[in-house]
Amino acid sequence: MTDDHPLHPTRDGRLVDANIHLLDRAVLDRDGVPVLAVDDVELDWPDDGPVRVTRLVLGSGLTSRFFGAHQPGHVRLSVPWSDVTDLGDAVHLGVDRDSIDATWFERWLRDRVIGRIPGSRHASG
Amino acid sequence: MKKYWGVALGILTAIGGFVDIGDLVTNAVVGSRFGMSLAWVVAVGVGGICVFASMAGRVTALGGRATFEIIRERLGPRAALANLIGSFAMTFLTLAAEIGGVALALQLLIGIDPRLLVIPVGAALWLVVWRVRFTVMENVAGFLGLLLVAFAVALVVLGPDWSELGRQAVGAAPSTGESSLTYAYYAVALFGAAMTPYEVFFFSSGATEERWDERDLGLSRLNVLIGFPLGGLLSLAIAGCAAVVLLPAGIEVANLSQVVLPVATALGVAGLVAVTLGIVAATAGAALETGLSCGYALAQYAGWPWGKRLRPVHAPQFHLTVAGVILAAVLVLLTGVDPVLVTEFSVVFSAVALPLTYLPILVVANDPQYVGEHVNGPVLNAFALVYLAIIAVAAVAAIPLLVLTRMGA
Repeated sequence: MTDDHPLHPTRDGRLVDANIHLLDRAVLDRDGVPVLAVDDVELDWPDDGPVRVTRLVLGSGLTSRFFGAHQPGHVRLSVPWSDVTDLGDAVHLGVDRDSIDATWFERWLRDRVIGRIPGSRHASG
Repeated sequence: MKKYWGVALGILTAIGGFVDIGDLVTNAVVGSRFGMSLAWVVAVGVGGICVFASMAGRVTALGGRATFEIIRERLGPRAALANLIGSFAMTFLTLAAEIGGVALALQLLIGIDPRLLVIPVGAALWLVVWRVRFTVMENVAGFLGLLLVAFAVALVVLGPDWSELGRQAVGAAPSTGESSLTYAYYAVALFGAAMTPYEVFFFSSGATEERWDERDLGLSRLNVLIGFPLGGLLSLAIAGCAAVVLLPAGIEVANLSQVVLPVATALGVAGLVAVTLGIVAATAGAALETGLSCGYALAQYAGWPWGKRLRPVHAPQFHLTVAGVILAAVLVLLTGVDPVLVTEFSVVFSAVALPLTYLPILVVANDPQYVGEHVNGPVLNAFALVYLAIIAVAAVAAIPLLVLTRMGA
């Protein structure tokens, strides 16, 4: 892990051990705000070519194990591998957190609970 | 000039912020039963928290990764979740103890039943989390906490036989009538009080809240290396007061009024008011730190946005967690459980939970991917490994000692 900037994944890049360098790493958006952690990777395995990571599945890891890993596809939050800009001590994305669909719980909590308390839109610093 | 002011401020708040309800109660209990014969444990504990906090601060300031992000990626989701549950429960217990401490100290000041006080205290703490700037919160609590210096002043005014206190400290053996098992139990409790896991969650997450980078590293090291040992001296003064006034009188500390009795004896009403205000500030500051630490730990594990520096709508899960633990702690205290008892449990279990966070931080502080060239040097690693052994022994011994001595009875 000496290379600071990973090469494009479709070309010959550096070697990354998914278990050590990817799974359960913090995922940060382009401003460094936490998005979630890496829960899983989605692979594309064509008959005539190398295996490719297509998407990173994101999750908090708090409930998926307990309630079973096979959640329906539409609630699995994921980002395409092309959004990844850097793999370091965290996984850095080139997109804004708001462009990634928040979980329904976060949306509900933000809009219906926290957002209704006076002062919720001002940082206390 | 501004720079020196910043250094002085950091050190002062580190002193005031070092002492919390666990230190207050445990040092007074130990002083009243064992004199100064457990002073060495405070010294060992302060050294440990310096090593631990300097590693955690460096990892956060350089790598930007907070404690529980590291724990999760190093241990994997399952082991890290077990770790989270243990650390979170421990920190929650401490939060309840601190809020109880605020209420008990306010009771000494204004004479209202502490159970009536926990609801307004909890509401005030939440308001501070919601609205007050992080640095203001830290500095006000730390500065007012400095009133605890009254313990040191009281000890000097009491004019004890210093050579006798020194003999107790050097002798490091249980006083007559106490078994070596209870002595060992209180050694573990005192160690847990000095070296509490939440201090490290808070210290490393606070580094992010205050937007530290490499340039702040020297400053943080200075704050820790000067502020914490001075805070440790304050702890020893609390034990010393108890050793001089309570031990000869045969008074065993069971509530907060006995903790401050030596100060009242030496300095009268003014001293009593000052020290009690200091306790309010120190415990309220620690309540905020533990409440926020619950939010930090859970949010960092889950990968949620966290921190007071964000707008609450941008960190909704974090704010729900902090508000939730404050509410839950208030509910626990409303049952009428004795906060001093909660404190005594919390310091012992903090010794049990310590290896869970210490070991991952030690590993990562040696990993160049996180801290670049600033990996632990050989001297720091030697100390860190000695402390790893001490922490492991304390963690293993804590619960058997708790059971065998019936909580030191």
